[in-house]
Amino acid sequence: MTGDPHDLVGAYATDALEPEERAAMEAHLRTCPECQAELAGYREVLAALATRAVAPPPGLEDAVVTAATGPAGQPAASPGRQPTPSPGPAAGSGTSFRRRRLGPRGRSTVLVAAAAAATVFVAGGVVGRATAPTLPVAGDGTTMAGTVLAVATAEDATFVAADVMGTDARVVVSDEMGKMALLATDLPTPAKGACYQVWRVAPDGTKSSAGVFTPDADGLIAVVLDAGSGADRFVITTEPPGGSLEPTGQMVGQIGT
Amino acid sequence: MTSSSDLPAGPAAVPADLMAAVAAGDEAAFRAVYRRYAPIAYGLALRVVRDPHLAQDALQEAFADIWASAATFDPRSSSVRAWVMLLVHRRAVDRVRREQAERDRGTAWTAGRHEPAHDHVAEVVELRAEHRRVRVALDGLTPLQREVLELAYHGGLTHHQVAARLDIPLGTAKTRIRDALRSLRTALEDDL
Repeated sequence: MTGDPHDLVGAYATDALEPEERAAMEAHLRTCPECQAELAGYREVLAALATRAVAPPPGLEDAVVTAATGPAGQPAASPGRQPTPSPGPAAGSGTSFRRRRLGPRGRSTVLVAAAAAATVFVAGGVVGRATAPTLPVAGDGTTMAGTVLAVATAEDATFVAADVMGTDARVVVSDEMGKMALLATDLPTPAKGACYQVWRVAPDGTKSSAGVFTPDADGLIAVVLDAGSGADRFVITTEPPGGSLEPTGQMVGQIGT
Repeated sequence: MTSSSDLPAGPAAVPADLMAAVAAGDEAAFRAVYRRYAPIAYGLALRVVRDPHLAQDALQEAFADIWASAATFDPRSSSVRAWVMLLVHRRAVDRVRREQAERDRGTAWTAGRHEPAHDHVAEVVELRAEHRRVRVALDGLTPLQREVLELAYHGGLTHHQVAARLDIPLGTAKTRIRDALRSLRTALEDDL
């Protein structure tokens, strides 16, 4: 554990030191401008290595802001944190993660951010039909928009035809991601606080939920759904708030042929 | 709730100014910093901890650090990006070590953890142009340098663990990490 502290700059920059080594290195750094400069350079290099952007789940922004700016000593409030969008078909292969202090995970694929539609249309230019930029944007707006954009800009993104309640919705599918983004500007609000639920239809006709969504008062919606794999089409039903385990409501639309 | 139209988001925003605003307690500026860096920060955290929930925890802790210590940010010695990413990486590594300590209480280090993992989330965007430059820089490293950097930086291993894992002397491990960084720095110098 002895030796020239200069040699440890790299390991320090990569957070690869034991706590006591870290403390020693920090003490050394305070008196060594040379090491400070070297470290600063390495940190820029390491930050440049981060070329992979992954949209955090919607809701995390508010949780982060609440936790950070809230009263000191207050533990980070979990309720704001959203379950991660469905881990996809590969989930559970090999690794079993213990269940963490999360809220109920029942609606894990629900990514409802009606107001985000405004952000997507205005900022993203995904849909040519720009909506007035005065629409309110929820806290989730940007992260949700990021998620939608990630799907819409995927290399294999393909538009597919969609019909929801007789209105034109736009759906972009990325098979590689197993996700699809549904965008619509004038969807009727489902009755009595119900929601729309999208179902994957497997070749044998069995249906599984791809997620639920509720447009905002202006009928705007931008949502990412689990396209999964192997489904050749999707149907949309109206369901009670939060969605159902299997289709119970009226079929109001479909995606794909 | 802050309207996003108030935020100096987007390429026009000057991050150093944003940090000054964050240091002054400006929540809108804090949100702007989050929005700007959260995707790459989450990408890094996921790569290190390989679990979305742990990655979110790390991100949340790191941004609490950012909020709390924004006043210590010095734009003369660091870019905002490098500063944010170092705090995120540190929290992510803490998470990995804590998990590892829990696991190791009864069992040995899980073999295969550092096999390339599949992504647990699908929403991945490679920042393409940037990626190319970094790719070239990484290609300039020797395979041994790449390996050591991967284990130490993305694997969250200490240099002791790196040395043990690769069966090399500790001195070699730390020198190799430093050489790898030095080489990357030279390759990326024009861009930084």
